[in-house]
Amino acid sequence: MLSFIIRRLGATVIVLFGISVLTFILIYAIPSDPARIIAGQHASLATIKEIRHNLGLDKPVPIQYIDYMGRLFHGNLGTSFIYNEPVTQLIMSRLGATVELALGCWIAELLIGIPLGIFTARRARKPSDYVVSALALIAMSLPVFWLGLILMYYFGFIHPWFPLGGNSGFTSLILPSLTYGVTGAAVYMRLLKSSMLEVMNQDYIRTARAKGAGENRIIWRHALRNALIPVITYGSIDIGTLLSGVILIEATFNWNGLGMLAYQAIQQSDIPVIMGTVLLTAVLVVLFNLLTDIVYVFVDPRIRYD
Amino acid sequence: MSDTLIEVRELRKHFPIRRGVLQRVTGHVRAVDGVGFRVGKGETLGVVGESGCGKSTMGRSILRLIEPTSGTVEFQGKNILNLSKADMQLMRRQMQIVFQDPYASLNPRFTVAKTLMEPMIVHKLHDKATRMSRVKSLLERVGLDPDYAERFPHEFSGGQRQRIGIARALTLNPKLLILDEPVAALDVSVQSQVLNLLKDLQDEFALTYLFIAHDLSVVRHISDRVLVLYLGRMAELADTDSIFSDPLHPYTKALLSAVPIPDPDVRRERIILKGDLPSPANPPKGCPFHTRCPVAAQICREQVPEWREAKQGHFVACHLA
Amino acid sequence: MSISTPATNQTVTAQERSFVFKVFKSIRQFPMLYLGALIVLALIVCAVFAPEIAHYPYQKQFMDGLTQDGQPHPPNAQFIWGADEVGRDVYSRVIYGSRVSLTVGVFSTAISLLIGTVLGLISGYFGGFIDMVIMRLTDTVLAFPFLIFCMALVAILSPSEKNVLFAIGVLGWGTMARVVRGQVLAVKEFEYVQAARAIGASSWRIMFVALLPNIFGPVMVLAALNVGSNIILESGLSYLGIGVQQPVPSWGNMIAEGLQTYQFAPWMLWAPGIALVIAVLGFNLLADGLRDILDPRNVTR
Repeated sequence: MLSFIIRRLGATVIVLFGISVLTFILIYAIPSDPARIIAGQHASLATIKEIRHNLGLDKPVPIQYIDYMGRLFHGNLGTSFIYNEPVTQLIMSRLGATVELALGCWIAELLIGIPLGIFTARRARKPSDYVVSALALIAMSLPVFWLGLILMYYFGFIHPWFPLGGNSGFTSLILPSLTYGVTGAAVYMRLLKSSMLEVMNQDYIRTARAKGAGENRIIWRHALRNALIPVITYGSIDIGTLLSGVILIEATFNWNGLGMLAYQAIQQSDIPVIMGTVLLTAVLVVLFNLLTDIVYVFVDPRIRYD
Repeated sequence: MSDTLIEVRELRKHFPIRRGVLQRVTGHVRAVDGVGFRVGKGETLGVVGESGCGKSTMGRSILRLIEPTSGTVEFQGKNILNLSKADMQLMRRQMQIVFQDPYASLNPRFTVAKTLMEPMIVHKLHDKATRMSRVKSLLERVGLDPDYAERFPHEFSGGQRQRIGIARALTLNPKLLILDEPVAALDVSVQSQVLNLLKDLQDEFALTYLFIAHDLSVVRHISDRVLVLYLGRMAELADTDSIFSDPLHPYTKALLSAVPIPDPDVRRERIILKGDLPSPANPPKGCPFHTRCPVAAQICREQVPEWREAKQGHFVACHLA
Repeated sequence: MSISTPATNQTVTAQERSFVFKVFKSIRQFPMLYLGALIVLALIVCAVFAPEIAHYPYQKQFMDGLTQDGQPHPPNAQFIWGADEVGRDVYSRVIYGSRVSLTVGVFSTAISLLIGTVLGLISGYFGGFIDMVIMRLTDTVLAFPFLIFCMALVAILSPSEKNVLFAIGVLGWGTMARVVRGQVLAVKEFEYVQAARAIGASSWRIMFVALLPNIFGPVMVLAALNVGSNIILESGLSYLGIGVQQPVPSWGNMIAEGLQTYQFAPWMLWAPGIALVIAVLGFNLLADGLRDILDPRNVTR
């Protein structure tokens, strides 16, 4: 078990290294010269050369990579071209809003997905199952930003029950979370349904039935507990999808978080900010996956790690 | 004995066991541990042992489907274990294999014609029309309707599939066939048909067989000589009659006692081996068989028995024989 | 497979009837597959025959597309799904928009499929160190939230349909590689793989001729799902303004326009959005249907 954790950590380090190399390559693949962007359009060649030297852009590429890594280890993601502020500071000021939104979205997904999963599993191959499953397939096909606009139109504009975007308190969180919840819940529902159906076929459920346990007790005490394992796993590794979705939600609902920051940075070619957010989100995903795996070592007795 | 076709010396296949953070090798499974024998042209050598005794690994190592750890395999005097890729490719035309499971050994997405043409395509033999006519004649030869060529494996019974597997092995006109339990997965009624087919084919194409089986009864009617393996090592080797009439190794005796005798008047004591096959990762000291041997003595626990010729052409590895 | 035993007195009409019956039965058994295929077919027809199906060229601006006070005209006989804020016909633009969605969806999936299949085959078949390297690379690519990663790459390459397609394809092969590898691990132990080695087939031949057809099913399911999600992704990028640029219509950039005007011209939201949902649904249905067909429990003979 310890050896599994150590090897898992090793793999994580390799992946983190891969992420740093990939983002570094992305920065250097950029056709435009950062020195020129900083210097402005009318700068003389000498000024540009000086800026290039100050940025270390005239050094050999491997040395630049090492410099880049050195800065990363000090939490230095560079300085925004547009805001002229350290990227780390910019990201930190927006991180809270995004975490709040992501949490809201995730909870909405689970709140919609899990009850529907139980419902369709219990009504499997009955008309109500077919109706809900068909709706889920449609929900899966909904673009999150479009659904957001539609909800905003009806529940923000036609019936002004919720604010038309912005992040100001709990009410402004409801529509964005609901939007993401509807599109994301379908996956959870389908996953839980199939894992419930599988669990219900296991011998220990038959045994419970044979002992005369009530159907409700079987569902809640025996089946759900085991069927939830793959769902929770999926939930914890799905953070990448969540972060991608959150960007679109932020753009639609004008939610001032990381997504908006990245989105604006891309429109203004603010490369340090783009790379900072890309790097941060990738690292978050990797660490989350690692955490999930390690928690499982302690939680799930069925998994052997030889 | 006739000319030697294939001679195996000191063949070993050890699979590493990896453990720990760095996946260090902490031991070896000795699947095949020093096997050597020769098979003459047109001869059939039966190889017998319990499942897990390394006989399949041995067969596959000889064909280099698994790279053996050490040893030599000489085919017509040439060691094939150090052949280059290109030379080995040519050598494969000489030696083919028939597998045990006729359901797993045919590619489910290939028609029979495609399965049988594949060897000719790989070796760039013949043109398209010739290949097809060869497919048809091969099917006919193994007792199948040539019109079946365009069918898929799932449309056939186990026996029919095994015939296709045999036809595939014959496509390149090999000299040696390794038959890896070719009838073990078949119904008893079909087994003898396939065995008879193999015998006929041997006569017709002057084939040499290495016939692997897990019980002696199957081997009896097709083999000239029989090799008994235990835990990756050789226990006994003799011509078929001697093995059946005068077995020397206690393990062979135990295997023989499981073979039914058609004559109800003949009584034979049934020897039942106690315990399981020991792990080849951690074989017993001394004679590998001593943990289950009904007659084991002190020496058996201490010394590995030598491989010796106990009688003319009858080899055994046992202190007591 | 249809190896017909010599037909005796069976009349042609009886055979035809049995064919119609079989099709009917198959539709009843796999309704999702056929519905999905129908939608995808309709999408292809729209994309290929856009000039014939659309009423007007997509970039043409009409004076009467705008009302007296300069607002988009609501749906009427001339503009059946309304006009947009510069007086272009929304219906025609939605029809043309199918071209972008289909092209990006299908070709980006083709790129991912190619990269993912080759890497997955190599990784699963050879195993060992090669496998380790490829899988860590896959982990790395999968670690980046896909949309953000694509955003960054498109921003670097400059936004255009071609670059969006390329970015999605080149970055999206991770799941494909994992699935292919898993399938290879499952089938490579079968003896027909050993048999292929025994006849002297090269590793490449074993991977691409013997193994590939046997893992084709699950890969196709994933590919169909992938087309759907790539269509959504393209529309998301275009919605954010880093995909297909005006005046070329993409359902994503049409919805982005709708974001500005939805309070007084909601039809600009409805038309491209519904088109998008139907297109994605088509591919999702196709994927689900394929999965049902491949599920051995559903095979009836």
